[in-house]
Amino acid sequence: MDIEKIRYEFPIFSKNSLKETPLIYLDNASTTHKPQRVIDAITDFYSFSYANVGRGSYGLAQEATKRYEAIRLQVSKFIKAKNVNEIVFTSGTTDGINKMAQSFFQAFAKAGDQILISSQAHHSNLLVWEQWATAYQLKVKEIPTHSMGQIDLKALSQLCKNKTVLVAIEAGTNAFGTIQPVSEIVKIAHESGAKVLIDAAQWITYAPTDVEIWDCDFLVFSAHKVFGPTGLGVLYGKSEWLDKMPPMTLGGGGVLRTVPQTVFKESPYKHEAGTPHMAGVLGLGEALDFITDIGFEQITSHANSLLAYALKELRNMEGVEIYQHLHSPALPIVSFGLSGIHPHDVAAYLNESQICLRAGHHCAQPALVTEGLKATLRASFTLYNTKDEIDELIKHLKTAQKFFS
Amino acid sequence: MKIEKLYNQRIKELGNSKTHFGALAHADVKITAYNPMCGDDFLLYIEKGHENLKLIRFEGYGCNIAKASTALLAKKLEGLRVEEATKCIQQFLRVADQQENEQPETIWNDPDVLAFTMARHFPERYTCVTLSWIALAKHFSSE
Repeated sequence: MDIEKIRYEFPIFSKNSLKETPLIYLDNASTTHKPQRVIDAITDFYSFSYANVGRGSYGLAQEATKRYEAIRLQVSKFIKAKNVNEIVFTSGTTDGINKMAQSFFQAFAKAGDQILISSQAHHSNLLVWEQWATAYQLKVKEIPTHSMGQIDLKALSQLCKNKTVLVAIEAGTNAFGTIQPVSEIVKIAHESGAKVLIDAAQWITYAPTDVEIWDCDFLVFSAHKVFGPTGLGVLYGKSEWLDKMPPMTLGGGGVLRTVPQTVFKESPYKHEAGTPHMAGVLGLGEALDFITDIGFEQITSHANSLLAYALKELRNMEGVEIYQHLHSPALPIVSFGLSGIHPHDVAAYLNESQICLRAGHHCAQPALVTEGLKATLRASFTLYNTKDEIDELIKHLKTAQKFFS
Repeated sequence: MKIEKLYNQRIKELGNSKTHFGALAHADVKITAYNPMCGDDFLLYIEKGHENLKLIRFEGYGCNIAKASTALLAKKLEGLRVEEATKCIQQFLRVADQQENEQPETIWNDPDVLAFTMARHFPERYTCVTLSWIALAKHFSSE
């Protein structure tokens, strides 16, 4: 994989490369940068092809609809969905979970049912369940995980013995980077009759996603974490469930007629009322093409090699605590701390050298608190990162230790 | 502006010192100062005297800047009456505020306080600098 060539496709890196202190962006678990071709796809649509989709019969609108729907098909193939109607566009992972939750409750949940989430859940996959459980008289329980590691499958089996309507977990966690055994989790959940929602926000850019192999019932991800635009996400749902669920959003575009009585469209259209983020969808299509052109074989291998290198270099340092389960497979995310120095101070220090690193609880406060942590530093890598950047990180971490000593 | 200017010697010393750190068993008031963005979380203890804030202590977790500014709060406001403390809080916020036109020395000419003037050049750290001060101001205004 020619990293320099890839970096050149990203304006933020190509414009910065000649500066004395080039940008070192290591916060990809939060969001990823955009290659020029994604930006072009969005601006081209607004500049030359713009019209609303699914409504007008004139040529421009028809063409916009055709392109929009082509991306739906592309997304379905990207995650190996059985059919294109299993793809609902949302405004992001959080929105996808929010939208799916209420509709799901109305269709499938009964008072007293249980929802299981991970003890390392991201707030997006925690608050929705926590807040709505009371309204629908449901119980929310956390599935314990091994320290900073994978879900305890025995505990999951045990918990599933109580009437469980949904198991909602992350394919990979954002706080510690743990990859969960999704297929096993789905199998256990299905044996008890529960459906499974996979939050693939962190996973989606790391390795191929195959909803058929995982056999999950729902899956969500965000375009902005996969080199696409913000304000757009995808909710995958098995047709058999999406069809039974009431519309997730109500309004124009999701309905066939309202007179003499309301008749909703079929899935996924009944779930997508309102004018969608059309330009964003075209941007996502381009982003997925960008990934496909490089190929996951190279992307995953590069990510693994960066993670291994970063871990080796961090372990060689004095005064570093690495927060990771030793025996769990991991996304290219390293959570760590410098002994005696607050992560926020380190992040501020690194910022001086244009090194972007996240410090805090990473929207997964319960996961950190369970491990006795308040905040960590988190470096997360993707296809445009290099070992040289990790060397720079290590160099500046060492000077930070001296500075704050 | 170099980061060394923000993390100046006085701030680092205050942040690393144990001054006013700890709990007060007989606190009349406990105030939480929490920054949801980074998880910094302090608990301020105030033991009231007849007319003043007799003792101020704090516990918690935060970055060097937030810890230093909380220690400074305890150091500077202890012994003051609420009206005086409220005035000091407003002065401190102005010292750290990038939008403030007045010279910091004319607002509060104290070497420890002036160490935080550097926040004017690092507006992204304004929340760290003012976390506990704003929490206390909110408490006073709700009393």
